[in-house]
Amino acid sequence: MTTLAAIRTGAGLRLLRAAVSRSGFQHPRTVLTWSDAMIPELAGRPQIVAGEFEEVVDLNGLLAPFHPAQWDPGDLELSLLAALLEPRMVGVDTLVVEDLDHKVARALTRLVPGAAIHVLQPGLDAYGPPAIRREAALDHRVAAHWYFEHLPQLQPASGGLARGLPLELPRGRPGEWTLVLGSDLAGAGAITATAELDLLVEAIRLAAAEAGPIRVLPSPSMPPALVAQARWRCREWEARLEWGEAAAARRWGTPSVAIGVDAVELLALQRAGARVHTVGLSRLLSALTPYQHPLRLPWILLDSQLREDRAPVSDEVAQDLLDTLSYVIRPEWRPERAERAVAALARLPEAERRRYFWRLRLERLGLVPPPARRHQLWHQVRTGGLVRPRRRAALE
Amino acid sequence: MTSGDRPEVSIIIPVHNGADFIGDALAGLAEQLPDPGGLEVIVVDDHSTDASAEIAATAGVPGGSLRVIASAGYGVCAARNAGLSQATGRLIGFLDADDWFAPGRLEVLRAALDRVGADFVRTDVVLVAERQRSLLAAPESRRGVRLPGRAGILPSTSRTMVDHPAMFAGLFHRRLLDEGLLRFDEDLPSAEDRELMWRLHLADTAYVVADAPGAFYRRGLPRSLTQADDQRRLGYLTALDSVRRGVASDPDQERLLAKLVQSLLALTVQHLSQTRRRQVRHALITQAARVLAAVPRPVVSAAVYQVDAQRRAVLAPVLRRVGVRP
Repeated sequence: MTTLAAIRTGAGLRLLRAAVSRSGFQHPRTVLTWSDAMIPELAGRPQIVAGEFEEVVDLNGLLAPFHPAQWDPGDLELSLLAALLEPRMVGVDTLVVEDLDHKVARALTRLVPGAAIHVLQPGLDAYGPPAIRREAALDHRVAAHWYFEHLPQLQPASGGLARGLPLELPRGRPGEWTLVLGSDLAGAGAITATAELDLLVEAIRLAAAEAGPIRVLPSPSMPPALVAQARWRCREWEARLEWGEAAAARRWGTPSVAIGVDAVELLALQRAGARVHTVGLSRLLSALTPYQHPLRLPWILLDSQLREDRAPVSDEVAQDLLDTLSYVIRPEWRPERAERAVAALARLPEAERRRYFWRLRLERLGLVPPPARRHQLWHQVRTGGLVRPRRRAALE
Repeated sequence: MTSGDRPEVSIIIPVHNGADFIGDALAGLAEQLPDPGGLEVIVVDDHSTDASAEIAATAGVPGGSLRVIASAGYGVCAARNAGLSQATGRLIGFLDADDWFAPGRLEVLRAALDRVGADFVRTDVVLVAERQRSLLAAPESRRGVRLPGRAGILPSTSRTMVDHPAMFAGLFHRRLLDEGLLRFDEDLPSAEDRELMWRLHLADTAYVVADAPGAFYRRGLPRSLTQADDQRRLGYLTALDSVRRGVASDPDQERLLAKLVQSLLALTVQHLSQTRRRQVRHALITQAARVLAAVPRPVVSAAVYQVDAQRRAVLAPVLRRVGVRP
């Protein structure tokens, strides 16, 4: 009996190790890795220790020069991949995948149709529903959702299948330096490359106002061209700047200040004693469409804990927020949670309701009543339902 | 790996306002040779008004040497020639600032070229638009085999290596530079690759086509020929006219002209179909007709006969001007 794992990020690799150490499943003999970066040839890979697994297979190499994101294999392509991966597939009874909603992960589930599936979700999306609809047959194969307890006070929406693992916090007292964490929102399609660059530069500018050296950790997926431009635009602070990679970053210890856009690491750093700031998260959230966007839930959870303009929400409010969000974003996923969502929404403070929910979305789901009669005129104007009397006459 | 004191490979990167992408091009050169010190990178700044040169100088190439020089002339041909005048490598390649190579590519090309003792090596190209990729295969199914240059020109009825002109998808031995063959015509506004490829194949050099890690070409950029839709579209006509004059005294002139006309007709169909500007369209028709008028009528007629009805309809304005029935 064998475990096959498929990993695409460093965080996913750490979660895999943590789950194995908790005897969640057998140590995988073979690990498939791949990068979903815009330019995977130039992107960083998870730092696998030599000898950690019997074999590491680079899926990007097998698919080259094509991109994993465009790979939507039919039966022929799958059979070719199966032939390439033989005999690693022999006896596989457990498949461990990072992000089951990715095409590559879905394809792998078809390669080992009898295997139980363990899903690794190293980010905050682990607390919410799946990003896309899954076939019932696939859902039934999922044995567990493994996640890091970035927010240990919260119960994930997936309920009984959720397996939380404690997060290893940075060690040591905070030193007198600032950490800037990059992201790859452009690669995720959330913003343009130019906007991504501007956010990184803004974060570094904010860091420059603090004392001590500045260490910048760009996302491994960020195109080198963006990193090069950021270095150029931040040259005035060159003497204080150190640009690193994930492997080197683990030796840095705990910063006194940490700045990022949506890096989930900010939560752990805050718990370790660092002052943390998010850059641009509020305005990104307000511009994010549609409401069901996969980034909305992680961004809201992060924002609720790290807001600049007010204190973090209490644990109870955070759970109500999660319960409501999980239903509002994917009502079809667990329709039986509607009642719970209504109750949670009723308990939410008005400030959180206004900040994190679209009223029209709540109305359409029946979670809030339509506005009172005296407000209906304005409501109709806003929703485009009002036809002015002069125009009505012209139409008749 | 170096040949004595000389770098093994020189890569020339002309850049004009490529600040958005040049970091990718340079990052892709980091893991190309077993000995990174064997790589020499020459970035030629073609009068950029952004920070291309400065970003390149700051980014560098880990383990390799990088120089940034300014081009005295204007345009990609002058920039590449300026880089060629500075290149010291045994093998020479080119890379546009908005494209990139997969790791290990240059070592595979070097090995393929040296294995058969060819003058240059060519590969497939990967066309990239965001995360969508498609393969533009080099039109030569014989891979890893030493081939005479002229084998890459004919037959006229098929797509051949002269129809796959991307310079960045290849590596060239220094002797081509020493013999004066590896130099770009600075009078060409575009299609300089095509004209140079014809010259290399006509000179009966030896080449090899190899399977190698990707050469990635970014499509749809605002500066590209198809996006700009201006007089640069006419560059291929000037290039092919130059080739036409070059084959005038060739013993195989008739067959070569047949191939040249086929290529010209195919490219004219492509550009006429793409352009949205009347001025450009008129110029394409006029100049294509002028080039064809210099080719013996039977050669043109025979080539037109090979073209399908749909494309002949697109070419009709050109063919009427040269007196050939569409």
